[in-house]
Amino acid sequence: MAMAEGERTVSQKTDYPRPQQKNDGMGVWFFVEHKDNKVDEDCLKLAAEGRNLADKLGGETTAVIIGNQVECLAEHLGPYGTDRALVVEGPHLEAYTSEGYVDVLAQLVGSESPSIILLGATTVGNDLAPRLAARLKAPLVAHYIEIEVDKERKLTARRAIHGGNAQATVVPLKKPLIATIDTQLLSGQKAKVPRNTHIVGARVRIDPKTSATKVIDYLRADPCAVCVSEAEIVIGVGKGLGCVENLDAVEELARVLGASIGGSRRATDEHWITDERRIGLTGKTISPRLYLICGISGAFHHTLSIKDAKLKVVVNKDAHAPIARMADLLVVGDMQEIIPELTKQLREMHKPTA
Amino acid sequence: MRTVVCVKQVPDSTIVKFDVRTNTLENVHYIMDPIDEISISEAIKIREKNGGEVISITLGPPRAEKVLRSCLKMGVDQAIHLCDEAFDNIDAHSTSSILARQTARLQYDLILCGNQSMDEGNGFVGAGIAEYLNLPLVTAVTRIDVFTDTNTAVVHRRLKGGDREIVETPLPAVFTIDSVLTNPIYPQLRTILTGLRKAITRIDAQSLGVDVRCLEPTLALLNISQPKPRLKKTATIDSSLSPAERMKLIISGGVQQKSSKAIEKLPSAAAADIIQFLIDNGIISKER
Ligand SMILES: Cc1cc2nc3c(=O)[nH]c(=O)nc-3n(C[C@H](O)[C@H](O)[C@H](O)COP(=O)(O)OP(=O)(O)OC[C@H]3O[C@@H](n4cnc5c(N)ncnc54)[C@H](O)[C@@H]3O)c2cc1C
Ligand SMILES: Nc1ncnc2c1ncn2[C@@H]1O[C@H](COP(=O)(O)O)[C@@H](O)[C@H]1O
Repeated sequence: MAMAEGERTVSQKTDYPRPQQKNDGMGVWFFVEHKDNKVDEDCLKLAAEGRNLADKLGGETTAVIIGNQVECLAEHLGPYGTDRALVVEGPHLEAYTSEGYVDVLAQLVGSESPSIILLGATTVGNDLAPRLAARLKAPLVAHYIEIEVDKERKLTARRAIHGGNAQATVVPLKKPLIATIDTQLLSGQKAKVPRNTHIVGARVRIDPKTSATKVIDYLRADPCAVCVSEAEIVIGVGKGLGCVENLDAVEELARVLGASIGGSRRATDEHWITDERRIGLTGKTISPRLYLICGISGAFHHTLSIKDAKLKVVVNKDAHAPIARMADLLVVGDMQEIIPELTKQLREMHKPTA
Repeated sequence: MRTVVCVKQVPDSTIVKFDVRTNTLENVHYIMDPIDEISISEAIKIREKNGGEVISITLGPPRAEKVLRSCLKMGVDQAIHLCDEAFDNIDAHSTSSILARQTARLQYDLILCGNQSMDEGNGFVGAGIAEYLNLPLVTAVTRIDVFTDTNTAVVHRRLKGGDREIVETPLPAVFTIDSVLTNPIYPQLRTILTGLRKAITRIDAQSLGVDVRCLEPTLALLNISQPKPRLKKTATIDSSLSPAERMKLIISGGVQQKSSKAIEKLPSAAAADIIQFLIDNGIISKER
């Protein structure tokens, strides 16, 4: 990589055309997260949301793809109606670094005038969005629920405040509006008219000085051992577990699913699980992608702390237990029978096919 | 090691309610944001190890002084209250520019903010301060180790599923603290009593040299209302639903409904249904 006057040039491409004027200022950009040369599934939902907003604004959608040899990712976005992909490549952009990426993004935005920049409310998005907003002195709407476009193409955004007890409706006074959304809220429908995503190789300059922070190590957590408040999948057990011996089957399922086990106060009082694993008012608050709730009745002391669990699957003998009302999927039955069966079927599913 | 901690007074969101009749927030009980309490504890631990000072700053109305008193009782050395009517209802950019301006007048090695405040939860102010002061920023920090000899810090950053990234940074820097870092301190009675007597410095816009007319808002608050979920784009009414359920769906405006599927089957069939549900929702995939 050539170093000249303390600046590095990213990407070998030189064909960075000036934006076409036709939709100037109405464009919707979205930031593409990717891993192992694959577009993150959730990002396709972001693409669809971008399309949806761009249609209302009468503008184009642009995917911003930053990384090393990532141009090929653009082809997956066409079905979701993405008009254009701005691609910035370079070996040192292989892994996400906040300072590096915010620098690239800010320069890209500087040369055009998008209306909205969407990011997923992910580890990366939550890091990048506020920085980008601060750098551009642009409005940030974190964790929006919905962006509305009125007839005059004015934007308003709704977001939860006070821990979800109220919502604020805000109006961006500047461009671009930088917004993050929990992609679980999005449906990710394909566009009515798929596009031939036009790839644009972008050139930006990176001042090597900007990278003051350095990632020196990575610690991978054991999903079964991790604290319930950080786990992506949690299995909750309650009084319905019956006795400590029955925990073996739950632990087996946890291993297959990569889940962390937590539970109700009854489960901790019985010493089936340790106190740090209690979920509820006097325990931990959780926000996993999946909460599998077994033999817990759903007292508000417990349910208070599981509101942010994205998907709740309830296994309970009693179809009318209060917890049933919160369920995305309610399975009426005996957990002692269903759990081993689940483990067995998951194992079979993942068995290497001969 | 001088640590500046930004603290905020917020309504306790575990009890606050939006009242649809009066169109206001009810049950507003102001507390120090729990995340900021964690930051203060962390700053005091850093001081215990490395010496130095902890300074807490809040921007807020006169009532916000209470959180600074709490900080002093926890053992903070200095408390600064940025208080001016002109600061009412300013946006996050302005808040961070004012906090940055005050911080710039101090000597500091480290600035701590919450990763996300309890009331607004923008997760912005830390980034804003870092940008205004042109400092390195690390977000979602779960552990801090400071090295005074090299003037650096090594911090852990929270990633998905409990993973951690370990980041080294020169000081001064801004860290935003993640809520999983819970390591409370228990101040001694003497510390509490000293804290009760300490003075709180109050600074207004003029003495800080902030021209409030120059604070350009980036966002305007239109209103606060009852929480409403996202509207489903295609509010198709499922004809397999009962008339009552269809009515409910129409009344709710086709709002994202819990599918609330209930199944009661033999264990093996039930397990198969669960697995299919998990696949449909992208929790697990068929191939591995
Ligand atoms: C101040 C205070 C704080 C509290 N804090 C907490 C807290 O932090 N966390 C918390 O969880 N609780 C807390 N509690 C307790 C709470 O009120 C409930 O008592 C508790 O959550 C109930 O636990 P449970 O659901 O496991 O038990 P139960 O209410 O007894 O429910 C057991 C459920 O299991 C089902 N079941 C039984 N056998 C089976 C089977 N074989 N298969 C499937 N289902 C079966 C039953 O139908 C029932 O729904 C607190 C209470 C107080 C007063
Ligand atoms: N008015 C304020 N006074 C002092 N610190 C603040 C204020 N607002 C926000 N902060 C700090 O910034 C963090 C993040 O806030 P927010 O950007 O609102 O999510 C908070 O946890 C505080 O540390």
